Amino acid sequence: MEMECRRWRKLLNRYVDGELDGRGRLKVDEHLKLCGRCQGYIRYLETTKRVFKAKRVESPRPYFWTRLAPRLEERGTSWHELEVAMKRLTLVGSMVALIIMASLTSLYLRGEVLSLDEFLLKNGFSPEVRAVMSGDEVGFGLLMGTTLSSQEEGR
Amino acid sequence: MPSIRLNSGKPMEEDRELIQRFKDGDKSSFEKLVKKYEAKVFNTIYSLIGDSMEADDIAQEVFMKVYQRLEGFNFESKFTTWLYRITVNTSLDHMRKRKTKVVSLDSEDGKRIKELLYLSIDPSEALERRELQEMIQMLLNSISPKYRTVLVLKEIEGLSYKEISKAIGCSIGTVESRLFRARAELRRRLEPYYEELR
Repeated sequence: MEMECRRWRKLLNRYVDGELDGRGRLKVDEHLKLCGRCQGYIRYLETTKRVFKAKRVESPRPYFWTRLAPRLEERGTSWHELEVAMKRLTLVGSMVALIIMASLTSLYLRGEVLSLDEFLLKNGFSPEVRAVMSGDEVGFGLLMGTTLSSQEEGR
Repeated sequence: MPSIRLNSGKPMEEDRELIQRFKDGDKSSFEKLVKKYEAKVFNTIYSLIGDSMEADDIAQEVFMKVYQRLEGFNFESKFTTWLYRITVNTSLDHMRKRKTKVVSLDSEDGKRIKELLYLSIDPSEALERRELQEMIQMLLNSISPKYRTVLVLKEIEGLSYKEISKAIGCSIGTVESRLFRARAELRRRLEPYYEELR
């Protein structure tokens, strides 16, 4: 008998959880009329359900949003600034490359031949641009500095 | 206070609108989403963790993750299902890191357990009494986290098997099986104190 009751238990769980259709419920109801052991199991399931239903809904500490908002801003802003800086850098880089190419072409057509470094120096490019164009290693701080100063000029 | 479910017809449309506005650049709609769900998220975490301060920290972490990932949310599932998934995973990660141990009940708890089980016929009385509330949480903490998760989503949050399966990313059969084992584990804990189980 006990072995048979064990087979019923999964079905009884679905019964108390409201996961059985009408036919399934009817089948369980019929069994419960005859089986005291399964009636006891159902009582246990219903008791624990009542216990958990009596659990109070807890609330977070006050000012949840007020505490969260600066954290979101901090994280969101740093990514946004980096994204803007990278876009500006790409734009500035493209413009500088375009100007240099145009100037070099013009010099070539006039028959004046200069090295790239000499050309940049002669035309007053900043040390950062000279470092970028001549392929020297450029740190992140230098890149950000160049971008931010170009942003300042743009305002 | 009765348990409030996250999902029903109209709130879903409201969520959709708020998320779309967020994606269109109106970041203030996120505040509305947080205010709508902060209590629910906190209550789920608290039921899983059992510590109010930690639950508050984890709830903040959950909403930071939601903020970062909301841009990629494509409405393939309900927002609430997605939110439950982040909430449960963040809580489980936290329990793993903290190496949370299940609480064992001793004979001193017996009296309160008996009271709880026999008083539970009148839930309003249990609601008023702090020590009984602590006991309910202790019962949850006495079950291993894997089984506790489905029990909380079923009994505290009132989700269906299908909703739980989507929230924890497994089949309905697995949900059924874990719930069965959770109740069996709980029954073993309660047996010494509840005559009708013997």
